Amino acid sequence: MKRLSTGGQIDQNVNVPFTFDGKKYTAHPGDTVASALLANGVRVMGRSFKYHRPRGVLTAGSDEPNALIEVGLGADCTPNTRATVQEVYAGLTCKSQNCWPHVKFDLMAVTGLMSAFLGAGFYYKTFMWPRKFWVKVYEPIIRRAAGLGNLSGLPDPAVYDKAWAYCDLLVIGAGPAGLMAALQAGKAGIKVVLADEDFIAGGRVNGECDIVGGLSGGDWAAKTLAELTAMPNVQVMLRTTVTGAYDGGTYGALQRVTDHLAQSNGAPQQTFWRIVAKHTILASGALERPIAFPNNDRPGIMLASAMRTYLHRYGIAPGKRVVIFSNNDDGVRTARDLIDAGIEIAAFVDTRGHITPNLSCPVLTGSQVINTSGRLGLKSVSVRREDGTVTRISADYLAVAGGWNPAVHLSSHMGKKPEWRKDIAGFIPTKNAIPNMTYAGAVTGDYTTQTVLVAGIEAAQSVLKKLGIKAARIKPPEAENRPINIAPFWHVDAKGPAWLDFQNDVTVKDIKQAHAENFRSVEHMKRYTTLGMATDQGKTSNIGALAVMAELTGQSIPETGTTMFRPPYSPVQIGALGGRNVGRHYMPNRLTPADEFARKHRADWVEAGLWQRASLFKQRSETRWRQSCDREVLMVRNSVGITDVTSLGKIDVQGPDAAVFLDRIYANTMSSLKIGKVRYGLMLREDGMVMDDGTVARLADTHYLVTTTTGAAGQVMRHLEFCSQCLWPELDVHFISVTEQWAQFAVAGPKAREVLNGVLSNGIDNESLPYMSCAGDNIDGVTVRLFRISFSGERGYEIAVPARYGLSLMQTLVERAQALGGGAYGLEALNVLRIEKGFLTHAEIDGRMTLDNLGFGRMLAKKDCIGKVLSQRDGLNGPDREHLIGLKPVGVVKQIVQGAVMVNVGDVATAEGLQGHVSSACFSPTLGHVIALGFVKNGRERMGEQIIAADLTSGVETLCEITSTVFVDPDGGRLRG
Amino acid sequence: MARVSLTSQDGFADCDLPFSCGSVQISAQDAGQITAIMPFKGYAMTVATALKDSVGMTLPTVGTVIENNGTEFFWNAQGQWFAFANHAETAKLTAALQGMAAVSDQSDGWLILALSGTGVRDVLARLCPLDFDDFPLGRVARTEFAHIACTLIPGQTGCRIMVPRSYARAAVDITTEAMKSVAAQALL
Repeated sequence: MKRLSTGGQIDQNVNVPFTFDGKKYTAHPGDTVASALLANGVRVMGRSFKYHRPRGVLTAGSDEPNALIEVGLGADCTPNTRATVQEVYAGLTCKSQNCWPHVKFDLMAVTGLMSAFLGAGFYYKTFMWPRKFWVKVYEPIIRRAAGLGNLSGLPDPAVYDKAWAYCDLLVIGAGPAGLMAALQAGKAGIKVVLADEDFIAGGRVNGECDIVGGLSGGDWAAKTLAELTAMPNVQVMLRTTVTGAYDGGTYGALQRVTDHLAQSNGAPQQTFWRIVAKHTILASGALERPIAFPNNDRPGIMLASAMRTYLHRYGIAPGKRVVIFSNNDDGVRTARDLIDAGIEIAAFVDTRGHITPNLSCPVLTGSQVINTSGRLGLKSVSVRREDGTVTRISADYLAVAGGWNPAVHLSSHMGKKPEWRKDIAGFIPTKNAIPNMTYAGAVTGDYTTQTVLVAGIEAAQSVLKKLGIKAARIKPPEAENRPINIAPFWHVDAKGPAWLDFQNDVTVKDIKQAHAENFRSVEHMKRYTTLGMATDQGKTSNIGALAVMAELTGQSIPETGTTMFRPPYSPVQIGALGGRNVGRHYMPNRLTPADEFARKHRADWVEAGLWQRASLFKQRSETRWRQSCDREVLMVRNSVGITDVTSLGKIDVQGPDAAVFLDRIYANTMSSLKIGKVRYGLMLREDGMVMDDGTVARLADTHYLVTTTTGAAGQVMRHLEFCSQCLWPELDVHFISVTEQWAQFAVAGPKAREVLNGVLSNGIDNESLPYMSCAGDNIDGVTVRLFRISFSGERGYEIAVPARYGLSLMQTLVERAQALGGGAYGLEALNVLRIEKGFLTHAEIDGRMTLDNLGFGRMLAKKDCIGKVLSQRDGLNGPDREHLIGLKPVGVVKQIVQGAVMVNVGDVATAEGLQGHVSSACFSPTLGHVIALGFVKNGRERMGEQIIAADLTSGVETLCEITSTVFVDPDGGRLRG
Repeated sequence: MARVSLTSQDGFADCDLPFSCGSVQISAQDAGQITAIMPFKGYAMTVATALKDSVGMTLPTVGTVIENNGTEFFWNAQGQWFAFANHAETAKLTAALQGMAAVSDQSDGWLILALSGTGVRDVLARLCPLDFDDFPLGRVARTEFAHIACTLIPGQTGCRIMVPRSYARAAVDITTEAMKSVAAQALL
C-alpha cells in the first residue's frame, strides 16, 4: 500500500514521526498506527496467538483481531493495543508482539509446523500426564509459546479517572443513525450524551465515497458534529467506547482521554464512565465478516470495507494488484471504488453465479478463492471457477466481503440473545432486550445510508414521545440507497487451514473436530476450541463459526444460536476500573484526632478497618519491634501508659425504650445497669454466634453509650438499625454514631489515676469512680467523659473529649505519664496486654463461636435476645465443641504461632484429628515466655493437659499446656484497685 | 486541682485549604455547632412547635434543607435531622427539645468542605454518583463522596460536603486530585 497524494481525512501537510519495531516512520494527523504502517508499506504487524503465523491488518476498527501492538516503553508499555484504534502521535513508540526475535522472522513459528497436533482440545488431551509436569513443565512452555503482549511487570504510572454522567438519552454510536438521533433529540432540548469509540464522528460514511446531504460523508459528519457540539444540552464523547449495559439504565463507557497524545500534562490516560440514561439508542452499526477459505490469514488479506476505509478515509492505495472475493454487492462497490482510484483489479471473484456486474476488470462469478500463497504477505490467489477449473492469480492484496453482522453486543448484555434476520443473513437485537433501549441504523440490519439516517430520526422521535416531548421532525439528508443483495456463503470447501478466529487461531477444522467430539452446543464449541475468547471476543469470527456448526449439525443458524455476548464490548484496562483508588488512595484512610502526635513520635502504623492506628512508638535505641512492644507492655504494668482508642465505635442510644432495646440486643441484661455504671456485653447474631463485644455505659435513665470494636462498628450500627426499623419498629429508641465526636484515650497502669488527677478539674478516686463506672468531669472547662474500664488488666480508665481537643489531650496525658515513668503505647502492646489478661478480640470472636465456646455461657440472661434460641442448638455448646483456653509452651520449642492447629500429643495433624486452633499468641514480657489464647475441644475440662500446637505453614510444632485464659492478675486486684 | 488547658485543633489542619485549581475552589467552612435531633415517637408536632417557638422554624421534609437567620435544619437520615447553628441558637433549641427528642452534639464529628466554581460539576462527577441536574437548591442527600459516606448540600455555585472528621485528609486529597484532573483536561 502507499499513500495517495490527495484524499482522505488526514492532514498530509503535517508529518508525525513514530517508531515501530525500532524503525522510524512518518504518519500524518488523522492516522492510526495501522493506517500509517500500511501507508509505509508495512504489511506484517503481528504474529498469531498459537501458530505464530505472520499477520497483517484485517479491519480498520476496534474489531481487529490481528494487528495487536505494544505501545510505549517500560512501565508505560500497554500491550494488546489494536493498531487500528491507536492514533499516532509524535514520538509514539510501538512494537509487534508475540514474536521472537522479530515479527518477520519468528522462531516460535515452529509451532505452525505442529498445527496438525495443536488443534481443538489439544491441551486437554495432551498435558494430562504426568500430573506434576503441568505446573513446572507444560504450562511454562505453553505460556512462553502462546500469548499476546507482555506486561512490564512494573506499576502502571498512568492515572485514570472514574466518573458519573446522567442523561435523558444516551446515543451509542456517532455514525449516520447516531448523529441523526442525537441531532433530533438535541434540538428537542433533552439532555443527550453521544458516545463513539472512534476519534471522528461519522462511522461508516467516513470509509465510503458516497455523498450525504450534498457533501462527502466525512464532511457531512463533521458539520453535523459541529452542530451537536454547539448545543449546551448535548455532550459529545468521542474516543469513548460504551463497554457494557447494566441494570437501571447504567452503561459503562471507557473514554481514552490522552491515549492519543504524547504528553498528558496532568490529565488522566483514560476515564471510566458510569452513564445513567433514561433512554438509550443503540446505533452501533455493523461489522463486516470474512469468508473462511484456506490460508485466508496472510498479510494483505483484509475485509473489503476496511480496504475502502483505508482508501477513502486515510488516502491509501491498497496494493498494486488486488483481488476481490465477495458474496454480496459490497464486493462490487469495492471494485468500483478501487478502479476509480486507479488501482488494478486482478480479479473480481463472487460466489454468486447469477450476477453480472458491470466492471472494467476480470469478473469471475460463481467462483471461490480456494487458496493463497506468500509467507510474509500475499503473493497469489487460487480461484476455483464455476466450471471447476482453478486459476492462480498473482496479487498483493485481497479484499473479502462476506456480509455484515449487526453489532448487537450491548443489546445482549442483560441475557437476551439476538434474533436471526434471514434477508441479511445476520443476527439483530431482540426487542426490549435492554429496558428503555431502542435500536437504529445498521444494527437492525438496514444497511443503506438513507434508511439509516431516517432510522436515527425515528428512534429519537420514539424516545421523545415516551418522554412526553413533541418536537418538529428534522429532515434527513439525501444519501445512497443501495441494498447489498447478499447470498450467504460462510466457508470454502477446500483443503488447507481456513481461519475463523484469527486471534485465537481457530480454523474450520477445529469446529469440525469439536463437532466430532460432540461439543455441539455453541457454548461448548466456544470453550473447547477457544473461538471468540480472545481480546476481540470473536467480533469477526463468532457468526462464521456457528454457521459452520449449523452446517455440521444440520440445524439452521438461528436454531444453533449465538454464544452469550458479555461486557466489555472491547478490552478495558484494569487500571481504568480502579480509577484513582490505587496507591495511597486505595481506600480512604481515617485518621484519629491525635494522628499528628503519633507521627511526631515515630509511630509504626497498622490498619484497623479504614483507620490508621499507631502500633508502636519506637525509641531511638530500639531496632526491632519486639523491643518497643515489650517496653510499652512493662511500662503499663509498672507505671502508666496512654493509648488512642478513638477508633472504637461509640453509639449514642436514647429514648424511652432504650433499656428494652438493649436487653434484646445484648445477651446479658442492660436494663438493670445503674446510672453511672458500665457493663461489659456481648451481642449475638441471629444464628446464635457472638457478633461483637463492648461496653455499655448508662449516662441517664433513657440514655446509654454503647461501644463496639473498631472493625465491627459499622456492622453493629447496621444491626441496630435493622432491629429498630424492621424487627421492633414499635420501640421508641434512637441511636447515632458519636465515634467521630469524641476522641478517646485509655490511661492504664498503677499510676493511671495520678495522671488523670493531674489534668482533671475535679479529679477522681477509687470511691468516686470505681471499676466499671462512668462520670463526667472537665479540663479547664472542656467537657470530658470518664469510664473506669480496662483492656489491659491494670487500673484503667478511658477519657473522652470532643475531638477538636484530642491532639492536645493526648499530648498532655503523655507528658504527665512520662513524668511518672510512663508514656504512649501502641496497638501491639495493647494486644499483648489483653492476651496476658485473657480479653477477647475478633481473633477469638471469629463468627463461629457461641457464648459457651468463649466461656461466657452464664452471661446469657433469662430474658430473650437476638440469637438466644439458635445459640442453644444441639451441638453448638458443651464438651464436643471447642472452648477458649490459654496455652503456654512446656517443651523444647518455645514459640507458638497464631493460626496453628491443635493436635493431641502423638497424633498427626489431619482434619480428623483436629482439636482446635491458636487464635492469638505473643511473647509476654510480664511472664518472660510466649503465651497464647486458642480453642480446644472440651478445653475447659482439660486444664493442665498437654497438647501440640502445629503450624502447618512453617512446620513449627510446640508442646503446650492448656491453661486458664487469664495469665496475669487472675483475681483482678490490679484492675479494681 | 490541676491547671491544664486544652487547645482546639482545626479538623482540616495540614490540608492546605483553601485550594484553587482551574475554575474550582475548595475551602473549609465553619458550620458553628452541629446538633443531631431525633424526635421521640409521637412528638413530631410538639417538636415542631418547640422549634418554631425557640428558633423560628421547624424541621424540613425528607431530603430537604431550610435556613433562617443563619440557622439551618436539614434531614440527615430516617427520623434524624441536623442543625447548624451558633452557640446561642443551639442552646435554645437543645433546651426546647428536652424530653421530646434525642439530641446529641455532633460539632466535632463532622467537617464541612465547600466546593465552588464553574467546573464544580465536572469535579463532582468524579467523586459522587449524584445527578446534579436533579439536585436543586433546597435539597440534601446522604451519599458517597470518594468512597466516604457524606451529606451533600447544593449551593448557588457549588455545594457543601459534610464528611466525618476522620476522613478530612482523604476527602481533601482526592478532591484536589479531581480538581487537577479536570483543570488539565480543560486545557487538552
